[in-house]
Amino acid sequence: MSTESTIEIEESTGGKPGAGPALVIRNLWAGYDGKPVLEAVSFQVERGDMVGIIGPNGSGKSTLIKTVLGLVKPMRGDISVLGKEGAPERHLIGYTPQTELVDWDFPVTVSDVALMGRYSRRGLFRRTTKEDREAADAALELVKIFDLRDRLIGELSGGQRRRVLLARAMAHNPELLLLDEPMAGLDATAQHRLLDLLDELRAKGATVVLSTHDLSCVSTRCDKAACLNRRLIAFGKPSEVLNEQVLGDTFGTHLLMVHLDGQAYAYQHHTHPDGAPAVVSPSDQGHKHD
Amino acid sequence: MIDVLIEPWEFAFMQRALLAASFAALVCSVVGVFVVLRGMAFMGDAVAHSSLAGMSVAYFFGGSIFWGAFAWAVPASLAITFISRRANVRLDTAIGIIFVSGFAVGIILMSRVSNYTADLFGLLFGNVLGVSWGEVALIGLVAGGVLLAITALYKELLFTAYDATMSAASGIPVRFIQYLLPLLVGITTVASLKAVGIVLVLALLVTPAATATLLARRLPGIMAISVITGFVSTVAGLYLSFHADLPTGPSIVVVATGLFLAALLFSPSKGVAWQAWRSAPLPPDEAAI
Repeated sequence: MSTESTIEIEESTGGKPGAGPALVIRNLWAGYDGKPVLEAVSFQVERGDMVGIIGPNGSGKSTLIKTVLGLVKPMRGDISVLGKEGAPERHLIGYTPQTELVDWDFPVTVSDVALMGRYSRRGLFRRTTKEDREAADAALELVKIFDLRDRLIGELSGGQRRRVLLARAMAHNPELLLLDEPMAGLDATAQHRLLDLLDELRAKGATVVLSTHDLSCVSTRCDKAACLNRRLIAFGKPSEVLNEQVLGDTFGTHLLMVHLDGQAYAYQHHTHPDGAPAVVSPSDQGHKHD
Repeated sequence: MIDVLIEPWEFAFMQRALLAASFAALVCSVVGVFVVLRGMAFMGDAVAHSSLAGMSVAYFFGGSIFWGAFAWAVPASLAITFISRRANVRLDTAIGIIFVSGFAVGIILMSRVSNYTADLFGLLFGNVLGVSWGEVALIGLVAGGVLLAITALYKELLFTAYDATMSAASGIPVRFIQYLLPLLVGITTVASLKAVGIVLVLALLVTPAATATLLARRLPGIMAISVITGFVSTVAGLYLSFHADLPTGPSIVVVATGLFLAALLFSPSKGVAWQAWRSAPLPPDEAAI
């Protein structure tokens, strides 16, 4: 079926009102039960960019994403999404949670899940329309799992599960995608297919912000890296910010970045019994930054 | 043979019982699907048990037992949600506290009534053969209200049950839904108390829905099969009760349990019996040859 027409992502520089950065975060403090997790975080994401947030567990990656979504209230500071201050317009943001937070045994099919992505465009008591079903189908085509539309979600592989969540996020034609650890648990091939898919979505105008533990994915595939450990340690082009000093401050351990033939390797620099450094994050295969 | 099928319905009390029990089974089977998927079985049981307090207050002062149970079940289900959300108490602990406190108050009040045992028995195990037309109408009305709410908010209930974080991110009023679902479960148990009683209401709530999850894949199919299973259990239970002179509520529950066991063994996709039959033998072990 022809679905290209149903998913229309507006051009990143389409002269629409509120054109400007996709996301601006200024002096953001946010957390739970009155205790800040994020302290004084500020950065700006340009439209069409892919930004990777890296940091250790508990560094506030998920909190940052949830605060942008409006699920966590900022204690201080401002967030502006697509040029609009205050509470974000839900349908402009697509979000995928960490997969382990999703109930994969729930008796719904792939197309049911994609259709849920349309709920933000329908109010309470309203049924989904033919337009919604077509948009959900188009999103499934976009992430290339339309053939699996009648499968139960519990029957999918890890890579297919990411795609279902991504289809749900894409079904309401968002301009900003917030992906919480989309790479976790995927093998190298599935990771690259997912990153290629994200590049395709970006080519159509979407902006992507993702959190990850995978340094090499950020260094080879992202336009900007945000190194987070409750405070923003560094923000900028991966080739400029992913250095020994920044990674040490971010992960609180001594990491060594090695660039070989344009590929990035990260080593944890501690003394092994055999004296060899342990590889924390092996390089990507053949995907070079710049 | 035909007589066996027709005879029960010549009695007005059996007609009333059929209607009351069918309404209860219908609403229980639909709400039960959410109960089974969200693991809320113990919650429904707690609301039913705690509403003994409301029933005995009504009984003590000569009021309507139905509305007594209703008036207790609504705050009880809201309280369970509130306690587990706000205070540092786990959900199962909150449920346990509500469960026994209402039940204890109910027993104390009932013990002050002269024909204590007989009346308590009716409340605990149901007395659907003694249901009046007025009560049938009331059960139908409450069941209809619950089903209407579920139909109107189906996509919100589905999305929140499946993924609360994501539905909050989509702008769905998740907190409202998270209070509403336990409330609907509480009201459903009240509508079913006359049919099967406090102790057995859990069976109507979870057994047909559990049977359906073994037989259907998607939520709409699960709901349809749950309703059919609940209705078949009700009718068959009433026949069993009438012809074998057995208590009605337990008869319905026994049939529902039988259907569940049949599905557990012989479900085309998930049946234990087929799985044992289908498990192919391994190829010959070459190392052993």
